[in-house]
Amino acid sequence: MSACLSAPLDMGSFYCASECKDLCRTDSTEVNHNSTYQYLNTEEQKLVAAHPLEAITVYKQKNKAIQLTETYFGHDGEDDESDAFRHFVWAGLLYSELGPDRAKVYLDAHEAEESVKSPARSMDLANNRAGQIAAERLTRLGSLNENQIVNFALKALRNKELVVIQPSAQMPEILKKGLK
Amino acid sequence: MKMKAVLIGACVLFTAGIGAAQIFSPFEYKQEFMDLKTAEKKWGHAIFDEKKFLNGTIQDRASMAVDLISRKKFVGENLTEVQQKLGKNTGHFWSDFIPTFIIEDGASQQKDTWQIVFLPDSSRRVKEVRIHKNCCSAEIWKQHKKILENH
Repeated sequence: MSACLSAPLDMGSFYCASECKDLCRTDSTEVNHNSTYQYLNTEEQKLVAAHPLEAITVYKQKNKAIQLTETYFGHDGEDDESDAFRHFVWAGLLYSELGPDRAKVYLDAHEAEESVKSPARSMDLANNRAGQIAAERLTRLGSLNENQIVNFALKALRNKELVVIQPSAQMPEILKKGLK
Repeated sequence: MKMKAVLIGACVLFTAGIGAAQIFSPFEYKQEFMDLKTAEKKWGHAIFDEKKFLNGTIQDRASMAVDLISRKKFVGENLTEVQQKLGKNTGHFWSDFIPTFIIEDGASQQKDTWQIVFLPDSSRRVKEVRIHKNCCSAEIWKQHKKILENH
């Protein structure tokens, strides 16, 4: 059923077209969309069109960063600690997969449509930069991997080295853990 | 023998298909959305009021979610206009230009967080508004608890 909903096919391709009313309905766990393309800004769309294979890597690392944020913070927020973590980790993972220059192209493109004066954009760019610097350092140490990127992100948040414009009312559990 | 080869071939194709689907499937594929009936039971059904939504608490916003969605408020509107009317994002769904508002934040109690998300079409207008589980799937909660125990 999920494949039916996700595949870019019309019902003409199916033998069960007469059952579409029943088979093609969506429920609370599924949604009918063609792709994530409309979720990208214009700059990102240009990059995807020009470098489709690289874009798959970016997409996978973005998903990984979101998943890690959920795993460590129990939510995926905006302007808070989880947002800072997500950007730091995504930047680190992209650095690891694509190298510093290509990673920066995608990270900057993601922020391209935000107003230059937007505090949220400044926060994202600053935390992206912190993630890239951490990845550079980890490369020199010969230990650039997902676990180390996450550890560096948590350490930076605990030391208040990342930009957080709207800290959570209650400090996230994961950040309390390392504090003595 | 021939049967065995066919079966092995089918297994290989099936596995490759799953792999390909994981790489190329849309972002929404693994996402969880809540239907309006469940949402109404959970948060009620208050009449949507733009100003009240903009300045309201998470609970105020939650109570208006069903009305906002069922009356197809904002469908067809530009995403930027939505953010101007309803305020800055409090949740996150893939990109910052997608308006997203938390209506239940369970993170501190290790409970699910829900948000309203304004899904766009290709021209950056609202295609539909849905209630999306910001976090977390059962698997993620399991990992989250394990990490907190071990960290």
